Amino acid sequence: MLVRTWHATVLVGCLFLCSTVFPSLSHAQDIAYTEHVDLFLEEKAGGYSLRSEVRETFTLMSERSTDLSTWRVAEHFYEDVRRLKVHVGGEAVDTDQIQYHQLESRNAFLTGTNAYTITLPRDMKVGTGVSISYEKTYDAPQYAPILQVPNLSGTVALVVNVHHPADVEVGSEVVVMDDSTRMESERLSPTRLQFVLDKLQPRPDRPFEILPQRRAAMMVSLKDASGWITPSRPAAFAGWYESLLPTGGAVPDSVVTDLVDGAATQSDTVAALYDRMRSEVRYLLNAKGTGAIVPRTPRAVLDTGYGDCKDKAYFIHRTAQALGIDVRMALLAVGPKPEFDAPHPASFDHVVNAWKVGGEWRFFDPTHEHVPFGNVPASDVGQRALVLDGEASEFVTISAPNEAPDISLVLDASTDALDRASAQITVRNHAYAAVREILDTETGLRRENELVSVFGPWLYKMQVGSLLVIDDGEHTITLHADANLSDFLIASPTRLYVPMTALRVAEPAVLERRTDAMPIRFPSQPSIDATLRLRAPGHTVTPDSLVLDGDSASFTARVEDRSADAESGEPSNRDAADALGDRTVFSYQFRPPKRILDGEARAGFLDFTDSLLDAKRKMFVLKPVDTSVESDADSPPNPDTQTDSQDDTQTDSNSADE
Amino acid sequence: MYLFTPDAPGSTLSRIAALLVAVAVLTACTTAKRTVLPSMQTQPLNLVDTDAYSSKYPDANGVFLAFDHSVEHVATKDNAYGVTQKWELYETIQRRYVVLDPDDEALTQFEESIDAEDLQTLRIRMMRPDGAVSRFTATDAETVTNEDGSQTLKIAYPNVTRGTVIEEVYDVKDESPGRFLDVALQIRYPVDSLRFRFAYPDWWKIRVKDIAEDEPLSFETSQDAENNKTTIRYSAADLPAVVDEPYSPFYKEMVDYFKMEIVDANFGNGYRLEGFFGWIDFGEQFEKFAIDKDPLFSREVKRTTEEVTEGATTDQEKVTRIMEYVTSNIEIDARSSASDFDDVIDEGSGHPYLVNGLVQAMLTRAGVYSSYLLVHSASDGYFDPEFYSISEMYIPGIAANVDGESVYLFPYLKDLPAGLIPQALQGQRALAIKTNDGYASLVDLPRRDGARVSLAEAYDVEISEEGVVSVTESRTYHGTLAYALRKQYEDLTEEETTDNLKETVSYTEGGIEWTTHEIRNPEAFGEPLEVELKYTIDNLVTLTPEEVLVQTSGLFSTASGEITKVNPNDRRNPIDIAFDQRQEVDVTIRYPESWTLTTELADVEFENDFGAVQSTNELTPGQITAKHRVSLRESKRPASEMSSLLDLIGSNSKLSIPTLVFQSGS
Repeated sequence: MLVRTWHATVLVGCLFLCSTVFPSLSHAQDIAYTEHVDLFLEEKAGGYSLRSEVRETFTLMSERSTDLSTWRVAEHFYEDVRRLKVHVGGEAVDTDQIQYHQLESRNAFLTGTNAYTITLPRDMKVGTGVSISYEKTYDAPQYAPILQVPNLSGTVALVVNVHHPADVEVGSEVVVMDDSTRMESERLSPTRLQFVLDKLQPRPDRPFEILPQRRAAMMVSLKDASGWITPSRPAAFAGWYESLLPTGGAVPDSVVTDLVDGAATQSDTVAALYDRMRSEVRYLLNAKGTGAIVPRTPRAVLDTGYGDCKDKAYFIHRTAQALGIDVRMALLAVGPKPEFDAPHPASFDHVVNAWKVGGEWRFFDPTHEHVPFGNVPASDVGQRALVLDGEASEFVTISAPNEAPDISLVLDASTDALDRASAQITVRNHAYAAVREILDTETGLRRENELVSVFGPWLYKMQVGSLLVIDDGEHTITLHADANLSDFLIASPTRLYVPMTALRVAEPAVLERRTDAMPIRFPSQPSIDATLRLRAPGHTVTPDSLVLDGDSASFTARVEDRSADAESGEPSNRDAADALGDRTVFSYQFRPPKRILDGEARAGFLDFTDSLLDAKRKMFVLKPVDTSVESDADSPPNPDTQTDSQDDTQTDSNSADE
Repeated sequence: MYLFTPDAPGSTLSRIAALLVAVAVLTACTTAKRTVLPSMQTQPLNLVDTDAYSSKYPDANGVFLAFDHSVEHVATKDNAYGVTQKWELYETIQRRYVVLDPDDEALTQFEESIDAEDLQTLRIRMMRPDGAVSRFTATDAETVTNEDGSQTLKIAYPNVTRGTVIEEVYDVKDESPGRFLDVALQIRYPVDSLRFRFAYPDWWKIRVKDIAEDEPLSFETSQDAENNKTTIRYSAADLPAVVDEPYSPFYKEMVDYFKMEIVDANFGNGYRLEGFFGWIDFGEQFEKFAIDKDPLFSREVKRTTEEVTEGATTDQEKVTRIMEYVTSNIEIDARSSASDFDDVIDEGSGHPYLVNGLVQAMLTRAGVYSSYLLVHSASDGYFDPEFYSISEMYIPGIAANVDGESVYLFPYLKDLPAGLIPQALQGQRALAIKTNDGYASLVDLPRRDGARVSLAEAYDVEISEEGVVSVTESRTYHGTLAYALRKQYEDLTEEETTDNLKETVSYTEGGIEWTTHEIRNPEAFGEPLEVELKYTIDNLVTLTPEEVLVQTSGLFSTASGEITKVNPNDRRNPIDIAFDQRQEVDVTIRYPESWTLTTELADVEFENDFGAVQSTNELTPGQITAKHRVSLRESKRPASEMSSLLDLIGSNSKLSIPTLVFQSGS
């Protein structure tokens, strides 16, 4: 399986809020699992209280499942677990087998999530039943939980009873990972509504799922006559969340003046704040207690020199507002999270900033140290962000800030020295950020290897090395590289062949998703323009092209006969042809798909991938000059490929092969 | 942090080993007082030349300017009743470092696994490049309770920038000390000046392990009569960072470390902690623990052995039957309550030493001559023959004599075939505690992987006139590689196995149609593991009227343009190839006889001190037969010879098959 992330280094993780924490399931694949949740919304003075009674039951179904050694019940900062009882095979488990501890998080210095880890007996057998019951009280009804169903190979069911005052309206949303899964709901009484997800059949984990290792997720929304109890609409969420934000702790005016010293425009001012946050405030997540979702004050960030994503974004929001610039906070999920229509505190794991310019939201992410202002990291692009803007709060998809290709590659080669070719590589957008980070943090051979890892995996049989920065701009970096194309070009006694798929951008594993119709969450890929300028003395090429144009991704490869340009009366054409001398120019272009693919876009992308993989055998052909006429007659364009167009993918090629 | 366990941290075996030693804590009236106290930090904290350090250590995120680590036992003796009993251990860390990369979290926050109630003192001061100084104490620390019940103390340092100098001083009290100590004397950061002290009551005797043959750790010893203390002092300067590199020896084979055992600690009133006087003494004690466990008058072991070996006529058969019985019926469980062999058989579980003893007892009952082995692990560094300690010999095994040859068995590793020796145990010393005719002494295990060829691959490739490539990919895994893969597959369902197998296919460029995929002998642990994958590929071949191109990229050579360069001059660690290894790849490519190959295939042959690579190609009408061989010899070489190793393993690309061009003959 070819799975790559195209960043040179792993970007800093940023945690907004841990959502449901599942126990380690490495040994729990073969268990029949059911979760019953009774959720009680009760009126109290001035509002409502929320609590739940939970009963998890499971049965071991195979020998390997008897190796399951622990089970975990998580307790987030906004909830309190009580009356935890565990029975295995009908026998109560001693309390000394239950350890209460803080839950480690890879990204967090301190986490606000605790857990009860239950050590299960070692003598469990196939068929042993385990029952775990507990109660949870929630700090506020806004924290009504997202309930997630694990993808276990046994039967899984989730039953949720919502007990509520009669005048409260109960809604729900569910994200399912199976075409056949449906949630049933039944009104059992005026104050009790039941939701059931059951008859869930086992299925293997599939690549590129939007919610890996989960079968389904559901959330409950609550509303009364005065409005939303749960913050289930953007404006309601913003109102609630902004009420949690600390109001004090502003940065002193003198410091603000210093921070933006020299900024002439609003854009300069925001850029200055951004640069200070990303470069001078080191990333550290202290998510203890409400720190999981509530940022520290700007003053605290300034005093300590560290902060997490929400600290940095809040600092900029507050400080910019103090300067009269309306920069907003925006919440999003960079990791797999259930994407409901309604916002929920557990639906987000990252916070960035948004600034409206000319009616359009522009995003920037101060967590990422090496991403310059005006750019966003690859992990943010294509994500849905909730921009917190009072009543005007809305979900907005973050787009790449620059339409230019992320990577532009120009290769100069000669057939008599293919191992001594050269390349000029220009990076923009998130490719710029990846290269910037490498240049800032690495030296020597490690720097070169890291730089090669940014480009090399996308090139088919072409090696680049000895990279040298020749232009280091604010938003682009251009590098010179030595290149070796001796494995790329194929020489026969009579021909030269140049592969049409010079870019390795097809992901074969995604074709496993032909068997289902659920959305695909595709990893980030760069847009690439590549040009090969090949000096091939004594050879001529027949114009040819490959065009794969799906709805959500495209790939083109093209070679043109420039003799017409050189003979053309247009001076610009003649100049261009002269500049290239006797070189033949091959052009390649790849535009990646959106991050989430569904419906027709999904189908089109799968067809696109199929066609691109199939095109591996397609070649541009260069023939000796004196035999070209005869050879052209020998190898006419193949009618098969010219008609190889599908609903969302058009193929146009008269290359070798077929 | 030092490891206060007798051997590898967290290992089941080490926990079992610890059970061997009973510790007595008694009252005393003669006291060995505490002599090492944490610094009051009265000396000024100075900034340093960060650029000079970056230049000296270009890969380092920080440099420890001073690292002072002390471990001190405080105890009493000549006890009188009514006097408070005392045996405590204090660990004191005093370290000062400069931060070169503030993104390195290990340098910008204090995070140590210390129980809050054990912490005596915590003093931290930090000087930023602008000269501003901050101080922190225990009250600034957050206490985190971990899943295992232990605690971690954390402080996030504010405003750390490049050039910030941080000094951390703390000491921890342990009221349940152990008799072993194992301290690393080189870390993953460079250290300008390292000092280690170990202080103990002067009436105690300790034994310090040599770190290499005839090479004791270099330290000084001093006496402090007033405080009844003996102190060992070790120091070193300009220590480079420990780095992780392929083909490296184990950590303890490369760096200094201090490992000691208390061999005589008198607490008075008849209570005394004593070490072993020699390996014979050790063996006698161990025998009571795990070998002489066949209960008197019990016939359980005899009866079981007779049942299991019934009809077996050769020693090999008996060994196989007994190992199969134990593998299938006895679970290795460090927490097992079984105390003798009858219990192990009845309960179906036992701790590894007891199960090892049971196997040896059954072999003895079956008439197979055998030794109970405790084996030293290379991961513990040099074996010091005069360091009589379970912490040096804790891997249980058996040497069974089969047809005059020693066959090594490790029952604690479920399903490990007889004869296979885990890498860390190869060529290591072992103590043969008991044989059928009395006690034995130290023996050496052989250095081998149980099979000469680690992996043999065969590709049978047929290319049709239409350009469809049919591949039969057969792989045969040998030795420990086969064992490791079988363990990986054993718990998987058929569907999971299928997915796993499909992911191992060598061709990753799409266009695959699967025909079959199978593991032929997943449970035959004694045999090489055979995997066969059959599939067709329809995007490898380009057909033109005159020529046929067969792209092998992704099948026999890399398709990616990513090549990682290695500078042999950057190599830090010595080179260690643990045992002879050999990889074989046989490729047969059949194609229509009307096609004529125009690509020249070059043979390759290269050999040096590390091994050899060889590639031969044979052409017959309609067929290419290629044989690729890579072999590495068991070697221990200095880092300076890395370029020779790269000459060999870096030449793998020369063994790949290039894109093939055929004249199609039309």
